[in-house]
Amino acid sequence: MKRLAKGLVFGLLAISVTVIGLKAQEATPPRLTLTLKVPKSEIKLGENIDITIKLTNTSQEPITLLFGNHGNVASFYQYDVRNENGDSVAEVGPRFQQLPNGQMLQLPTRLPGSFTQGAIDPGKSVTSNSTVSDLYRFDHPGKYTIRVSRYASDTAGETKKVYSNALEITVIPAENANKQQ
Amino acid sequence: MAHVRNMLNFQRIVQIRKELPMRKFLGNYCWRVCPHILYAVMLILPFSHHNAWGQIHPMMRCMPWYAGPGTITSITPSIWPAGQTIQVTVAGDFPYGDQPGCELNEGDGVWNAPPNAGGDPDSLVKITTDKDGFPKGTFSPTQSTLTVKVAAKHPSANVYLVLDCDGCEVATVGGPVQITAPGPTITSISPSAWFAGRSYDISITGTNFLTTSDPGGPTELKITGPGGNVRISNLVVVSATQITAAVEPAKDLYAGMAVVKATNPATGANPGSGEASEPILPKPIIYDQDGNQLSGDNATTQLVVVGLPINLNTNVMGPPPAGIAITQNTWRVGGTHIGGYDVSPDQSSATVTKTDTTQASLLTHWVYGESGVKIKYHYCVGVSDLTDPCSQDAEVTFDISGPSDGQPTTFDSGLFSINNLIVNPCGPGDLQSFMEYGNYTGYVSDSCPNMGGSVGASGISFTAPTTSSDGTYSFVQIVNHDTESFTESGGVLTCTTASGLDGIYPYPSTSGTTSDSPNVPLDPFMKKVRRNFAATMYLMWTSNQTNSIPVPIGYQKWQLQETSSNPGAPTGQNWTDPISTLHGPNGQFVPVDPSQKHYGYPTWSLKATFSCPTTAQMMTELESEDEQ
Repeated sequence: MKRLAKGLVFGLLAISVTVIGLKAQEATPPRLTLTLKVPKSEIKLGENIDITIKLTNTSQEPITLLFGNHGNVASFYQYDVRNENGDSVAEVGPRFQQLPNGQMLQLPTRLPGSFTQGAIDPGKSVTSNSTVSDLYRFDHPGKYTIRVSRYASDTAGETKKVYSNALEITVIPAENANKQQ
Repeated sequence: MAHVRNMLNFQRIVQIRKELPMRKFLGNYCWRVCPHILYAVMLILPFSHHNAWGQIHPMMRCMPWYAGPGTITSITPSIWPAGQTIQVTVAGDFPYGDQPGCELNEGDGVWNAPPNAGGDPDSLVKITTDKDGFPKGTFSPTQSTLTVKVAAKHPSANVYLVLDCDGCEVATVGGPVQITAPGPTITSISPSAWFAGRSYDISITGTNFLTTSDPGGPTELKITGPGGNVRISNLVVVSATQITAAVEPAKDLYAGMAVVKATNPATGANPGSGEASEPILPKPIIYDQDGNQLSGDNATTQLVVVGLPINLNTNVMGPPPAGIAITQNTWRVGGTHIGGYDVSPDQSSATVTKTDTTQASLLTHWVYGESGVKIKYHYCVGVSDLTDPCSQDAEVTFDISGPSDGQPTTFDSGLFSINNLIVNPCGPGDLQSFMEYGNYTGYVSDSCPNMGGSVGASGISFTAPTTSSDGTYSFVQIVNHDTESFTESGGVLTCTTASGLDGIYPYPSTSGTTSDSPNVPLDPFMKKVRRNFAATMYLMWTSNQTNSIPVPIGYQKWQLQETSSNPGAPTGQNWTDPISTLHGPNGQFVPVDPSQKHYGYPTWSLKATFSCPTTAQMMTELESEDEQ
């Protein structure tokens, strides 16, 4: 019984510490917000899927971050793409193009890019465009959900992340699109 | 006096008989008059006598069945303006009701003096009558109404209402009534609007103007403008309908109506005055957006900076005077200026708009520093009889300043390297080779974002000036062309990046420095890679003053061409040191110049977009490779 009581006290203490810790975490307002937009929510199968990523500094101080791109994909963001079943969508693997003479060419595994470091002033935003279909296989018609995140800072060991809204798009069969046209 | 009255009545009866056709006289008049005459002749004549003038003796008047003249106690209105038709109410004592007596009668009239004072009927005042000559109106023993029409040319005078009294040899006289001659009127003025501060030879058209030869003439002219007077000279009353003069509205008159007043003295003909309104078009004035006057005699030079919004208003922004339409606003802005520099919300495009110089207000921004730059404004109106329908210029002078030292520092590292960086999943052996302009080691930052990134030297860096104050510098880079070629065993794959904005705008920087290190990811299947890159880095400056837009200070073109080969292809990687034939700045930093397209501003219609070729394009590339 004493053991039970001790355990109960310890448990309550632990819960209290956890709650206090959570509250302390909640008390820290987010310094960045991420917002996703898509020009059109219904996209024909095989078309590029372009999204706009808006990163806003909601703090009172400038925040210095890295920005860049590889090909047409905005760098420094992590992309979470899921199909209508909630399963992660496979990434695009090696890509080839066949020449008329029958020979095959492989595109580079990583597309060329560059990056730079810069500050977002308080209240200001930086908007990046990203062609997510260059990264993920939207290989069948259906509903897909895209969510983007990035670390709150680019320093080593950073664990906090900021998440965007979940963006839902619909990939329609190419023939349906033709009929609609 | 009584003899005169008798004679008057008798004469009038004879006169009426002469004027009226006999049938009318017998039918409409004699039934009234003749019995009285006959009765008088039969019964009274034996007791009367005629004098030498044939007048009837006073004894015959007002026999017991004939009352004497009635009385007129009032005539309303008592002032009859010339040129008008007036309903007149006559009050008094008309004892015979509808019996013959001092009722309205066909002999009624208006006289220039009482009959017994030697007056005559006033031919310029008519009592409205019916077809039989009887006054139209109403009658009662105490009040009658009738209508009189006074000729427009009737001079000012006193007149008398004379009611003929049948059966009585005397008339009933009321009055005097004052006839007022019309004063002058103004019907038009030419030109029909005047600019403040200018001189005009004007012509006024109207009526009843008095020349110098007219009694009481000439007509006087006075003009009162809105906010001041209008000087008049060379006044000439040409005729009763025209006045000419030279006028000079004071230069500080504001928009509104001037009152033009022509006056004839009370002692002359056509006394009184007539007025007309004349639109006054104000001299234009330029104000700042806080309402401070900037133009005019006390204007001072305004000190501004490049990129600052110049918001100017004018005093003609409100409604123009009645009947006046402003047909054109014209601003002339010195220096190199733009209406705005508009970057789309997603930064994918940027355009320069022209200053709109056709509105009553102005918004512009200067791009380059300069002294003594003028802004002028004038407006034009749709007044057809104005020889010059446009106002004079309002003018403001500006001294425009910019950052004192506008040149950035460009550093070309001259470093070209093949580096293995750690990529996802970020283990020590997860390496990806790159051909770099610069020299980096560590993690690929976007692949392993919380691992500290890569460290090393950039290929090229740009540092903003540090001596400037009151503003901030920023960079924006436009990719001019970018081509990557990958030679594989099957051919050459060429990818390009369309010209446009490189990355994001404004190009973020730390401590006033920005850098670029184009790289090419390498794969074992590649035999050779080549990158050909060219861009323009613009240095922008934005004043700390509110709502300022960034202005271009200048630009630095730069370029990169590098190549590396992989003898270990297609399965291994043994890349040779990159060879660069071109790198770093291409020419000197170019300060922006008014002659440059878009006034030196970087503009773009899209972001630089990477793409690999279509099959047909690849064939072309292959063929050209074969030819070489």
